[in-house]
Amino acid sequence: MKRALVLLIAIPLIWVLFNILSHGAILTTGNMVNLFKYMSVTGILATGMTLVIGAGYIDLSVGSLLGFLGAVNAWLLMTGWPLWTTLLVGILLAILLGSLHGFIVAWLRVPAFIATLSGLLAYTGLKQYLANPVIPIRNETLLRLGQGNVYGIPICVLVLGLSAILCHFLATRTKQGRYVFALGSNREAARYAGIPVRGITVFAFALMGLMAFLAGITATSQLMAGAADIGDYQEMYAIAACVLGGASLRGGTGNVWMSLLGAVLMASILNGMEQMGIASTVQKVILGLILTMAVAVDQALGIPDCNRT
Amino acid sequence: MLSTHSLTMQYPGVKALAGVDFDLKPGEIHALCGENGAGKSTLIKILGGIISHGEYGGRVEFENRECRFHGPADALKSGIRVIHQELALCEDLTVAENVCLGEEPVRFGLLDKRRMESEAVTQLERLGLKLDPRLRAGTLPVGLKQMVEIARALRQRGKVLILDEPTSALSAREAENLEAALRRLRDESYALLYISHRLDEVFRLADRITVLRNGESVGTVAREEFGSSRVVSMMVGRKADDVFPERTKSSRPAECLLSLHNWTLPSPGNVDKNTLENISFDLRAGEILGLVGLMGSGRTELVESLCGLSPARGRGEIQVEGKSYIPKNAGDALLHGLALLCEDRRGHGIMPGKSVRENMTYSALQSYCHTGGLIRNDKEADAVKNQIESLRIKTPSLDFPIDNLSGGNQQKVLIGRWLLTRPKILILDEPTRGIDVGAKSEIYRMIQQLAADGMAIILISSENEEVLRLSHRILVLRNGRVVEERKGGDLELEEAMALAAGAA
Repeated sequence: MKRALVLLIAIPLIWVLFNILSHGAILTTGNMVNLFKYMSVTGILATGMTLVIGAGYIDLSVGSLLGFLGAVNAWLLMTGWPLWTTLLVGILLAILLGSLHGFIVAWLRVPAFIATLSGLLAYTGLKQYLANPVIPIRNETLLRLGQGNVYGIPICVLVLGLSAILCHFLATRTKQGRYVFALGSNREAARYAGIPVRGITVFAFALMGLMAFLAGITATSQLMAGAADIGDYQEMYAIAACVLGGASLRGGTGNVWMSLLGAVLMASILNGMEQMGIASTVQKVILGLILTMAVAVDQALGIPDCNRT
Repeated sequence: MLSTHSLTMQYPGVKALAGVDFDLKPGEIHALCGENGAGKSTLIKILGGIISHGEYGGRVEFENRECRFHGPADALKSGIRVIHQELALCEDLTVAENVCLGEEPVRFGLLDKRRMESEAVTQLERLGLKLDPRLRAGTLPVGLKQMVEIARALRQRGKVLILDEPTSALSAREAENLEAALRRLRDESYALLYISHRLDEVFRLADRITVLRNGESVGTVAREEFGSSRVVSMMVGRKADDVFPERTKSSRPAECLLSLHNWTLPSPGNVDKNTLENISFDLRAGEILGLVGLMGSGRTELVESLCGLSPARGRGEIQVEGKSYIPKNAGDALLHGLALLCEDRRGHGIMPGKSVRENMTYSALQSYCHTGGLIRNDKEADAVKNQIESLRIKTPSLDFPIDNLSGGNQQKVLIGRWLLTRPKILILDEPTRGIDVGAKSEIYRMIQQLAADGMAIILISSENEEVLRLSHRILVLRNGRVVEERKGGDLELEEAMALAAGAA
């Protein structure tokens, strides 16, 4: 795959470039571990987002949803629930809310953009209510998720890897995954082919909800607290990662591993700028420019359709 | 006037044009014929400037000067206007606005609505059409939309009009109107280049025919030398004396698979009107049942309602294999053994960008899965390979994107999709639309073979000859009712047309 090659060359080049510019601050073990830890939340979201976008939808709610779910988890722990019950409740709540998005889109025929935009607003309000003041996390086991290592690899990066494997497996090896991308390719044709369009829509959003939960506990564990601003803008980063990885917002295409590379690319640029001491305000501007340029270059280099008859 | 000289075009991996010479004169209707993949579309894309100068080899001359188009705008400026199969109207604008699109009349810097409307009316009248210019274009039937596009081309004072399969989506009457309009334009000394798969129409209309085969121009025939078999054999490069196979017999009194009793379907958005009214018939195993009717007669609506694809809910009784059946959705219809190859291949059939393999197994995927949904790749691949072989689908590999196949091969993949579900009742709505003679003939034989193996088949086609020649029994539909039922062979083409149009 050509795009994979481009990304696999571009990412190390960016590292080397910023390494020179920052006088060797990038290519150190500590910084690289940080980079991947930092990107794990966006990455987990991007794996699920690949399927949502592949189905021709979009989910704008996941950033605030992850913050909300993380806050719920922290709050339940604080009130003295054992960890496994908080996780179970969190998972169920995540799948329920994801399915609700799917239901609103499939049955009530509200466009995904609007349905999840409403979600974004609602969960933002809820998490700000819950996590005010900040809820500290003291559960050692949960803290290991964001802080700990196994054989030198951060656990949150392992979680990212597992969610990518799960989503990629679902996308490529299962009936449901096939159907997801069929929806994005031609929804009417999917209906005519006897594919349960509405059920698959719910499936894609429910999976996204689950991923938002994983991202949520990872983020709260990294910060050791449920805070009101956790997850802000993460939905945008996740969508950007999918687009950089080659997914079309019209649906039908997308690959989980490619989205992950997109996330690594984005994190590398951000990390590089950080190490150079560029102000975070400027970083956002530059990141925006890079995203647009990347897609523009893509369009310019893309092979035009040559449908012969 | 417009001519090409040893035109060549190379796509990655395929030679689309390998030396095409042809010329177009003012005041003639020139038809371009050829099987799918013969290079017709590529030729049009070059003439219309979609393929830029420099990407192709050879020369295009217009009024004795070489053309170097870089984009459709250049072609338009020279007076060459292409009307594509997919119409390019702004559905939310009015007829007048569409006719004047791009060159709106202005007064004091504002749009001059009145002049726009009067100009639209003038152009439409040239086509022999009276149409309210204030109607929203999106509300018009396809035939009129096409006329609006032609009217736009006329207003832009084009000299050359290129029409890519203009009648493929039209009913017989609409096609007649179009033909009349084209004749008028010919008499106004326009040069018309016309592409169609419907040979009868080409023979009626064209002054000259140029045949393309494998990217080469095989020859140009003038009106006096027309002969169906000659043109067909030029197209396929072999004698195609019988495109239609001999009618088979549906022998033995077989089990009744599908039975409709007073099936009625209300029209969406209008409670008082019915799209279908009191349709009753039986369909037996091994039988080919043909449905004849004009566009809008309810043929497509009938079969879609049987598969639960209609927006409205039907009334009446349906039995499948003797058991009561209420259509819910396409998936449920499949479970009952009903499969529908729908008429709109691009809109409702293929999943663009997805592979041949995926496109073929979407409907039967469950049979290649473990419980839970894990796909058994080898089993799936075997099934797809089998279909590719038995349907003789030409594809470089299983993982080739379906949109890169020719129309005929795409259709075969979709037929494969339905055959993999092992249907008892196979409904074919326009199975040969937009595909070439060779593939058509193969599909006819396949239909007969399936029926002989005991499948019940419902066949719909705008090419009435197909239905009349293949069916064991024929129902004529008009305005949502069955107006006639005949045995195959007892109905002639003219009579069928008359019955369908309500003139008999």
